[in-house]
Formats: sequence, structure tokens, C-alpha cells
Amino acid sequence: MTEYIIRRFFMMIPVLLIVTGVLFMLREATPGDPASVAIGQETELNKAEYKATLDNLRAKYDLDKPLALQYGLWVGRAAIGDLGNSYRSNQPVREAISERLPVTLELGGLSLLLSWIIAVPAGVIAARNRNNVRDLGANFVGLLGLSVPNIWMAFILIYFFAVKLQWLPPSGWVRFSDDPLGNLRSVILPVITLGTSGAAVIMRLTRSSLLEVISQDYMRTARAKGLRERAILWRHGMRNALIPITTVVGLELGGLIGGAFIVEQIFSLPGMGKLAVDAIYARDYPIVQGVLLMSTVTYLLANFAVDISYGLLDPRIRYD
Amino acid sequence: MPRNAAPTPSRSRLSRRSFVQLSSVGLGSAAILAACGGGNSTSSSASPSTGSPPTAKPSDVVVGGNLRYAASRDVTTLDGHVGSLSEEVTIFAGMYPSSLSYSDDSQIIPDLAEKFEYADNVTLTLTYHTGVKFHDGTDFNADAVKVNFDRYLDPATATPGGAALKKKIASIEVVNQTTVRIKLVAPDATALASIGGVRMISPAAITKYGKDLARNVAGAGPYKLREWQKDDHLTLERFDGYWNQAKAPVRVPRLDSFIFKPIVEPSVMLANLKTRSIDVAAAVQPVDFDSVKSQSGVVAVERKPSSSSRMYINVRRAPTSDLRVRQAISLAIDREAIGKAVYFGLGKPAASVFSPTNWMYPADRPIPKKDTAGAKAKLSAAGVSNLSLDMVLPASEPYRSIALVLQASLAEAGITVNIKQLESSQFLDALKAHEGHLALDAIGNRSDPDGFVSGNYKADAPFNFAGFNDVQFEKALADALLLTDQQQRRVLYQKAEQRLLDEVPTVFLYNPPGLYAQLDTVQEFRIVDFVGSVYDTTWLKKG
Repeated sequence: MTEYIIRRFFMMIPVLLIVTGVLFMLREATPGDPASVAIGQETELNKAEYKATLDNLRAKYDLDKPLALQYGLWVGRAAIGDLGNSYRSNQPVREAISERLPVTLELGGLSLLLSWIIAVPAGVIAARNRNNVRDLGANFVGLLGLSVPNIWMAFILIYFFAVKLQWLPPSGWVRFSDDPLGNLRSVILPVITLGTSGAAVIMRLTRSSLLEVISQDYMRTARAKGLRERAILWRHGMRNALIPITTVVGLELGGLIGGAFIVEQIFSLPGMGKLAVDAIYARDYPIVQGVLLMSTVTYLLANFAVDISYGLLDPRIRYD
Repeated sequence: MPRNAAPTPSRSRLSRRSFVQLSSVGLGSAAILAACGGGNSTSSSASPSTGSPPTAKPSDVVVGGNLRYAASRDVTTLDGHVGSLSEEVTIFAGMYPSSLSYSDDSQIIPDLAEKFEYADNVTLTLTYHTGVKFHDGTDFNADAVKVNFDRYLDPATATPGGAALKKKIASIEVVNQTTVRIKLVAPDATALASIGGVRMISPAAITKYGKDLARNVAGAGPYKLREWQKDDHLTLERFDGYWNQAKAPVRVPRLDSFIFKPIVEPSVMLANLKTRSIDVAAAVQPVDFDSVKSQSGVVAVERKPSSSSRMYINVRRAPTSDLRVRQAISLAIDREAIGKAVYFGLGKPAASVFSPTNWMYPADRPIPKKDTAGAKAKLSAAGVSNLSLDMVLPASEPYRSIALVLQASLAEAGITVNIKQLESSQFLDALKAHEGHLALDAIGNRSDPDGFVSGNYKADAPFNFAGFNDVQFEKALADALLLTDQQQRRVLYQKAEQRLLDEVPTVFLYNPPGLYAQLDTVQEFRIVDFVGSVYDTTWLKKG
């Protein structure tokens, strides 16, 4: 098992190199560069002076060096934890990411939790009451969550709970360390927005997965043995049904970073999504790469955790 | 005065000109160069153009409190020499004063410099106040001024306006601790404003922070930086060592803190205003203006239109290389429809390259009306039919909506427009490369007429999409810069504009309204053209 873990860890490195390397190369293919974005269109300069100003700025950002050298330098520094500085604010990328990570993790984590809380019981109800009213009802709720666009849900929630009832703030983020209650109040509406859409997928998967498990022979055996229905469901049914669900959760966990951009934008939450998108528009390469690195690492770790958990859920799966 | 750089109203960060944003700032001198700035003239205490109650008696003014100001985007840098977005300019006004400022009616007035005068038409002398301190406690003096100019003009700093200003300045000399003498290469009508607009940063901070000046503030303004949480909030707090505390009967600055909050979604910004979670909403969309006006406890302000949207027509590419085709386009478009569809009746259609707030604006010129028949006549005179033209624009509002309106009115004249929305960087590239026949653009406010014409129509300008190259036009602009007499300059700029009207490398579309809203508890908050938000005398009424 240990050997497996070590092997998996080392396999991450080529993946990271490939992903970040491709991104580096994409710079050449993408129009625009940080210098022309920074200078913009506000210029009294003639063409020669404009070019000179661009060149100065590019030199300031090290963009005049050969691409391979730039990449090598970046990898070398990243390996010791130095992800460079933002072109615009000179803030160290590590600091920018660590400022926003808690926001994204809290938002993503709570949304995922909410998805589970809604989806798993709904899926179980649907599976157990297959094709009757409860199944239909659960399906409907699930589909509603899936079909309603995040944007619309967000605005409706803000309108009712913030503007009309004034129970919650319309936007903004309060740090947990400053005011735990304020933090909770600022995160409720965004979490509902994200959680309801994520729930549908998990619900449908839970339902189908459980349905398949329920029809298995060992379930009949358990019932014949005289076990209580609840024990059958949870100890035998769910434990097996959880495997495909866990796979999906692994993927969703990976997508936490940068995945909630629209919700962050609407609710003015200083998260990774907004950091990434703004940096992309501004061609703030150090930030974009830092976020991509973070995102890739998260995906890899999440999927790694999921693979390990298979071993826990299903004794037939072993990694030696 | 800082460069004009009002942003797009959308998510794009690029410092493109927008004209829905209110706090536009401009470049260039008011044509009162010949005047000597005298004494300690205070800025007028006038309120914004509509809506605010008159200045209260000193005994009513309450000191303290925190103003929450919401803008559409966060600032990207706190470096007073580099920042040029309108959001940055707005905050910089309170943190980093410069040598000169503007009054409510756009006259250049003293700020850190108590006097400015031209000894001859290329020698400018600035005399500074004494007793001014920076936020870090160091002294402000003529040496500091020189350090600041050196940094601003240094190519390595890569300031937006540095290269252009460097061309104009021959030398900067520290005469004594309060006086700086600047010699220009040649007389230049815009130099005073550009020079006066260089913000002053503490030299000690420049040395200490280096590149990190993008995240630190050491200016001489009434407010200093407490903290900046990017995309969340930026808090400024009162600077007790502010040199100009005696400006008004009651202490200045008056607020304990000024909190700048970026809220990207316009409707969320309004929700915050409605729930009184913010005090000032810096940008209100035209569609929301009426409902905001009718809210109790809220003051909605419509400022005189100061920016302008325009369309460039490529004169180098067929079929728009034919003057008659360009004239047809100009006749076919419906400016009033833009006003109705995009701006809900606010603002005004444009008939001039200059915006309504500029002294060159021809107030009595009639707005061209849509003339489909005339357009068709021009097209048949040119011997063309079933034209298909490519229009490039940034992929954001209001450009998208304006493009649709234009597409419809041009279709009536038999011209098909293919709308190509481009990401902001791609749009810049398209402008530079003259890709397409038509391009939509916008320009913010400028105090000097030169600012409206040089950036996009001069032959050697990088962003001259139209490819316009006209000898008479260039000569008129060059001559006008050398003069100081407003009447003489007016004649020249009229000539220049006439060339644009005759050759039609561009069509002037609309002057959008400047809209913002505030709670009625906010007193003496002003937006001043070319300065930004002025909040040193702002106070909050209780209750």
C-alpha cells in the first residue's frame, strides 16, 4: 500500500509539468500580453514611442527572455515554493492564493456538504419509492436544482432574503476570524446557490446506484436473515452504492478551485475564481499559473484520496 | 492631472474607456494657461449638479463615521504614478494629491502647489506650500517633487503618461525648498495639466518599497491606507497630519474612514444601496436610474454627459475607402435610437467629436437625424449595393447593444453589418491592425480639446483604426498646441473637426450620462471632473 502511495505521488509530477508547460506555450497562441493590457488605449504616444513603452514593460516582466528559459525559471522557483509576483500589484502569488483559498474552500466545501445533505436522502427516497410519487417528487427537486441557472438563483435569493426580508446581507464576505456569525451570514446565500445545482447530479447518481445495489442477491439474503431495513440500507446498500458517488465527489472537489467564479462575482466574494478570471483578462501570468498549479494539485490530491477510499469501502479492492 | 482612463462597465479589467462610469478624469489644460494661480484659492463648495442638499452650516457638520463607497471593479495597483483606471483615480484623489487640481467648473487650481506661473511660454514655476507632510511622516518639499518627476518620467517605471510628458520637458530644476522650475521643449497647451497631475509620493517610501508601491501608500492626502484586501475592500483612514486641515470651518478630513468596496454586479450594488449596506454607488445603469431616483432615502445624480462613444470607419479598406460609402454610413445611423434603446433617454446624441463638458462643444449644432434615403442615394452614387461590412467591438456592454442598434439602422439602407465581438486584448489588437471596416469605441472626459482628437485620428497614433492621414488636420492640431489664446485655438480645433466631418473617418454616436447614487445621509460628497471623487469635506449626517 505504501509503495502504491509513493508511486502515485511521483506520478503527479509529470502531470503537473505537462499541464503548466502547456499553459506556458498557450501564451504564444493567445492574443494580447500583460504590457499592452497595462498600457491600454490611453496613449498620446506615436507608434515608435508606444512600441518602446511596451518593450520597457515587457522587459520589466521578464517577457523578453526566451520562453523555455522563462519556463525553466518558473519551475525552478515553484519547486522551492516561490510562485513569483503579480504583474499588477506585485503581491507574491503565494500570498494572493493563500488569501483567497479559505474563501473558496469554505464556499466550495459547504456547497458540497449542502449538495450531499439534499441529494443523498433524496436519492435514497427516490430509489426506495421507485416510480411512485416520492420518486417523482425527488426527481423534480433534483432537476429543478440542475436546470435553474446559478445567476438566476443568486438574484432571486438576494432579492428575497436580502432586499425584501433584510435577513441577510446582499453581498460581501466577512472573515471567520473577524466575526464567525457574520461569516456564516455572508456565506448562506452563495452556498444555497451552488449547493442546489450540485445536488441534482449527486441525487440522480445516488438513486441509480442504489437501485442497482438493491436488486442484488446479497440484499435479499440480508433481508431474509431478518436484519432491520435501516441496517440493510446503510450497512449493505449504501456502502456499495457509495463507490460511484465517491468518484463524482472526487471530481467535484477538484473543481472547487476556480469553479465558483460566477457566484463569487455576484456575491462579491474574494475567491480563487475571480482571482483567476481577472488575471486571465489582464494577462497576469504569474497569478494564472499559480492558480492553475493549485487547481491541478487539488484535482490530483482529491482523486488520489478517492482512490484510497475505494479500498476502504470495498474490501475487494487492494493496491498491492 | 491624471490621465483619463474610465473603464468598461463590464468585467474586463482593461483600462478601456467607458462612458457609463461616472468618475471620468481628464488630461490637458483648461485654456486659462495665461493665468497665474493666485493664493490659496479654495475649491468651491458647490454640490454636484443635481440632487445634493446645499452645504450645511458648520454647526451641523458631524465629524467621524465611515463612508462605504462601492465601485464596479477593484483597483489593480496603489502606485500613484501607474494607476490610471477611474476607480484608482477616484481613491487616489484622497490619498495622493498632486501639484494642481481642478475646481468644480474645470479651472486649474492650486493643490500642493500654492502658486503656478509661466515666466515665459516655456518656463513654468511651481511654488509649493510649506508644512506639508507625507503619510509616513517625512517632509514634502521641492526635492521630493523632483524625485517624483524623475520616477514618473523614468521609462523603467512605465507610467501610462510618462513617455508623452517626457517628450515635452527639457529640464526640471529645484530652485529652493519650495520652488521648482520646469522648462518645456516647446510651448504646449496641455503641459500644465499633465505636469500638475503628477501625484506626489514620499521619496522615502519610493526607496523603501520599490515595486511594492503597488500595494502601499505614502501620499500627502487627507486619507491614508489602512488595509487592502483585494476584491473585498480597501480601507482608508483619516490622516491627522494632513496639511490642509484648515480648508473649511469644521475640521477636514471629516470621516474616520473611507471604505472602498468593489461590487461587480450592478443589481447587487443597488441591492446594497437599498439595504443601506453602502453609502455611495459609483455607477448606476441607465435602466435602473428611474427606480433608484424614486427610492426614499436615496439621492440619484445625473451628471452632464462627459464621455463620448464613436465609431471609426476604415478609410484604407474597400468598400469604406470610398468617401461616399462613409457618408452613407453616417447618414444611415440613428443616434436617437441608441439613446432610447441603450440609455433609456438619458444623455444626448453626439454631433461633435468634443463632449458637452468641453469648451469646444458646439451647443447649437443640430444632431444629425437618420436619413435612410440620403444614405441610399450616396450608395448608388458610389455604384455599390448589398454591402457587407465587418464591425469589431469589445465583447461587453454597452458596445453590444449599440452595435445591434447600428446594425438595424444600417440594414435599412441596405448595408449588412457582421458584428464581431472581441475580448478586450483582441479588440486592442484589431484596432492596431485595422482589422475590419467599422470599430466601436468610447473616450472619457478630457479637459483639453486635443485629448479628443489626437489619440485616434493622428496618422502616427497606434490606435488610429481608420487609418486617417490628413495634412490639414495634423497641422491644425500641431499649431493649436503651441498657442494659449482660447479664441485662436478654437479656430484651429474647428478646422480640425471640420476635416473629420468632411472625410468621415469616424462617426460620433452618443454622449452617455454619468450616473451615480448616494444615501441622503452623505453630505458634501462630490465628483469633480478630472479629479474624481472628492471626499475630504464629506461627512455623514446622523440618523
